[in-house]
Amino acid sequence: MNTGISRPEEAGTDNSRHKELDVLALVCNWCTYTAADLAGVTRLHYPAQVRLIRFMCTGMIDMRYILSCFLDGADGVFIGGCHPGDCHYLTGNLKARVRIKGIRPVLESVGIPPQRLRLEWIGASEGKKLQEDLTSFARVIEQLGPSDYKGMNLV
Amino acid sequence: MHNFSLIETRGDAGKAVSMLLARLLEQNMVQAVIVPAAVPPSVLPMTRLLNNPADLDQTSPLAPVAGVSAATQAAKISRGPQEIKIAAVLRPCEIRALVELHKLNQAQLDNLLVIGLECPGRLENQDYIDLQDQNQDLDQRFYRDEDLQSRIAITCRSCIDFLPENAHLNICVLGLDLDQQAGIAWDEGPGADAARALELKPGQEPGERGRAVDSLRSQRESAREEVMSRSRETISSSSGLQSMIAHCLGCFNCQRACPVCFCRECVCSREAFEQNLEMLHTRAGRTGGIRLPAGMTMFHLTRLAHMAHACVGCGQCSSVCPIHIPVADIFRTVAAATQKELDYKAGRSPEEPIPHLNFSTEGDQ
Ligand code: SF4
Ligand code: SF4
Ligand code: FES
Repeated sequence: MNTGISRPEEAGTDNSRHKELDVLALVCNWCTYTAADLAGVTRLHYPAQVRLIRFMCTGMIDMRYILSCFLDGADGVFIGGCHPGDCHYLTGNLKARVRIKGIRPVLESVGIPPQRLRLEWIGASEGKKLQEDLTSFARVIEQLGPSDYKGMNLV
Repeated sequence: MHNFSLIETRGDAGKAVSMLLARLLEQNMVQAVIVPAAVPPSVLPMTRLLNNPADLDQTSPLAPVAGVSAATQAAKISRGPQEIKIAAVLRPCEIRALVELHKLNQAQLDNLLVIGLECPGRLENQDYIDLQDQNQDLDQRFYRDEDLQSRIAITCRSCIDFLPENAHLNICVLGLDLDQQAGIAWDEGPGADAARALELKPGQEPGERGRAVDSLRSQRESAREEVMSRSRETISSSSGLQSMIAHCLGCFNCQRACPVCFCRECVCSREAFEQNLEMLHTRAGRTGGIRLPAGMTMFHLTRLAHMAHACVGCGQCSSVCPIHIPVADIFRTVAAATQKELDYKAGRSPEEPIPHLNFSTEGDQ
């Protein structure tokens, strides 16, 4: 997918230590994804292990998508949505928030520490915040190391 | 509950309770009753709808068995014409499931007179059938025979929610000699109306009851702590979780038997989520082949993510698993963590909003 942002490896940044970690960012089309576009235009880099996946709204992120990410070997899942009050579909972001609150204890119970899942509100104009949030999240994931579910042959 | 009355059982408590239900019909307090009954050739009491007082003598309201959770059927019929009032005899976990279903718009509570049964546990269906063969008076005997009580379903052995909540009228069995007497308890409102129609006189609750409840609770609490800490430990790693569900056949029995899993079609069985050959092919290359049907971990985690807040701990999922996976242990463990985090308890109150439907703009992410 073309994220509109130059990937650090293309920009020649050293990212060898991130190689084996995967962070998926499930982002809302109207805010965070637009912020990513803006970040791209302003040539702000974000960590190489992050892959953006665009959703029309965080409200359509069923818990299953989050589970799929982890079961398929993601080490971290980042969700970026519109600030409360700004959701294009009014309450999608609030639904996302309550689902994430609900899924955290489930993840934690099965050995996926809650720090591996993060929700941030990133408005369309907040390219800088996108970079900062993704960078700090990637750092947390780096500290945690690979997820217990990575590479598992699951039934 | 504030009012308590003893009823004479004359050696058959089930019959005494059946007679009260018949009286509710005669007095036109309700127009129908749902209660477990085994009608020959069946020996396994299953939920039965009755509306003729004369038919009530074939029912087994105290049978220590629940073929399936009666909550599903109670919820279904409660949505019918609201003029038909129904008395429903339900176990504590069935009432909790009914409350959850009500909050999910799957049940009406207004036309139900909920009669809760204090529950020392239920036997597994097959065990009940086998024991029935050897004990003619199993339903009565169960309450005095500790040996029989020790054979209850594995989930029930560590259940601490054995007293009915949110019922209008309770059938009390703990701390009583059921060969002599059973108890009925009620609060103001529909329960009191029914008690009046049944001409129950409020009296003193025997002190022995409190002691019996406390001792059962402490025994169950330690059993629960043991089960929960063991399964907490096991499922807390991917390999531990795998070891628990490795033999899952993918039959979906657990999901179908779950009283709070109310979707007509489970998202896990939807074509949209079925893995196609292309996906399986990629994955098989990565993981040294792939077992089919695939996605059992995904199935269980999805059901946990969607329903852990609503799990009432009835144990039906474990009871129906053909390969004896302790599904309910996994569920109760995750449910305890989830419900604590969400400050919610499944079935606690019809007024308590479901956390997932509470979209407030307050708070942070
Ligand atoms: S998950 Fe199992 S124990 Fe929990 S409500 Fe459903 S059937 Fe009962
Ligand atoms: S009942 Fe048992 S075998 Fe069937 S899907 Fe559930 S856990 Fe798997
Ligand atoms: S449109 Fe952005 S979160 Fe709903």
